Amino acid sequence: MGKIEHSRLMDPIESWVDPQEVKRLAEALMNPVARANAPSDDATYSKHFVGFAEARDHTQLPANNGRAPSQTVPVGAQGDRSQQLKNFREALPSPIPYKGFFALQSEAQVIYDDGEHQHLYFVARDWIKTRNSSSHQHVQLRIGSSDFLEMISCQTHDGIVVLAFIVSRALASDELARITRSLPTFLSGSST
Amino acid sequence: MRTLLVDADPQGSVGLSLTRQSRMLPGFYDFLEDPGLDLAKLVVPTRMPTFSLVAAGQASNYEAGGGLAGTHLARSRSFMRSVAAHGFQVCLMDTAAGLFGVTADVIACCDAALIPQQSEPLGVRSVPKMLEGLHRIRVLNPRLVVLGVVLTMVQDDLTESREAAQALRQLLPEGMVFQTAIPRDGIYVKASAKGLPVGILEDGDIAQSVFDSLRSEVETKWEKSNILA
Repeated sequence: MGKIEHSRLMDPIESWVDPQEVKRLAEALMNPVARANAPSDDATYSKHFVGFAEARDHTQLPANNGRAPSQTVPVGAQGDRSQQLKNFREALPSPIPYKGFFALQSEAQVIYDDGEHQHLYFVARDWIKTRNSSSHQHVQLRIGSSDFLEMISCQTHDGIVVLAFIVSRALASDELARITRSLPTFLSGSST
Repeated sequence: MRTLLVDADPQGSVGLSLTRQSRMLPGFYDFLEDPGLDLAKLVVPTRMPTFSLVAAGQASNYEAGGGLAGTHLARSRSFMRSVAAHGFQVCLMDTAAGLFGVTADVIACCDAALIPQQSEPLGVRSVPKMLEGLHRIRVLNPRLVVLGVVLTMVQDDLTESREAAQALRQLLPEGMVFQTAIPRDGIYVKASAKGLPVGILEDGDIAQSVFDSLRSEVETKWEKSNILA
């Protein structure tokens, strides 16, 4: 065991952390956000999303939820997947009051985002972690006075894909069923 | 200054360390579960007229403490508003470890966060995760002031503990780690066993001075944050 130098972190820690990254994260946190620019207490439902009012969990979705059809072609690079999800989003039935959409793989990697929903990623990731230990396939969260986040877990050839929709009203069961039924068609590369 | 200490840790240690009866008290988790519950029914007065408690409550359990962040945010906000409406000027929320579930929701409603960090290698290794978690919460609550990290259970007679403390001070920016550190001391165990605040024990003067020092640092950092913001 060598002598610990004061200028270096102790060995049991140094190999576990990236000092530069830690410092960057910490310094950002130490910088106060100007109060004038921060949302007020009543800005719960601002575009920055600062609140849920409720969460509903549904364990059962249609039996063919996300199941890829037999004639599917292999999904290749992530670029393909992104385009397929874009096609899927553009083909969403018009009655669905959709305002935004992003998708993650089961490993919590974001594979598609049609806008800037970074502020919602951690919510989706939290759910992915949670649902790994449960059979829940869908969760609905209120994220604004007229905004909901609907997250649906779908089984695909490449594993679980979590679809996250920002919608202006809670989706009904039949709408969820339609969404989950249509996904495999788009991920297979064929069109409806 | 009217102060309310709220046990937002489902383990319920704040209440359990003070009164045996606290296990029967309704508390914070009951408020989360029941929109009709009035805060006044949860507040437990202490011998100090300006200091009151809210226990974790009957609805508290480990499952409620974890899970999806955001589920309890709206009720947590209601709780904070209710605390202010009842005339409390300071509300101290003691949360469970980890920045998810109810803990994340509570911090997303707070003005400031103080992070106790055990002075041992494993604790220091988790610091990056803690910082990432705070960043996520700050997206929800941009007004959140991160007061800093307080080293706890410091054992100056143990090389690993001492070096972990030193490493954390090297790792984080100057000013993020409080100068005051809470030592590991048998007097805390004695206070816990007796269900009394450490400061009123016969040999509690030194421990009391540590917490006075911490309070002073918190006040300074809080004032500075308000000036800068």
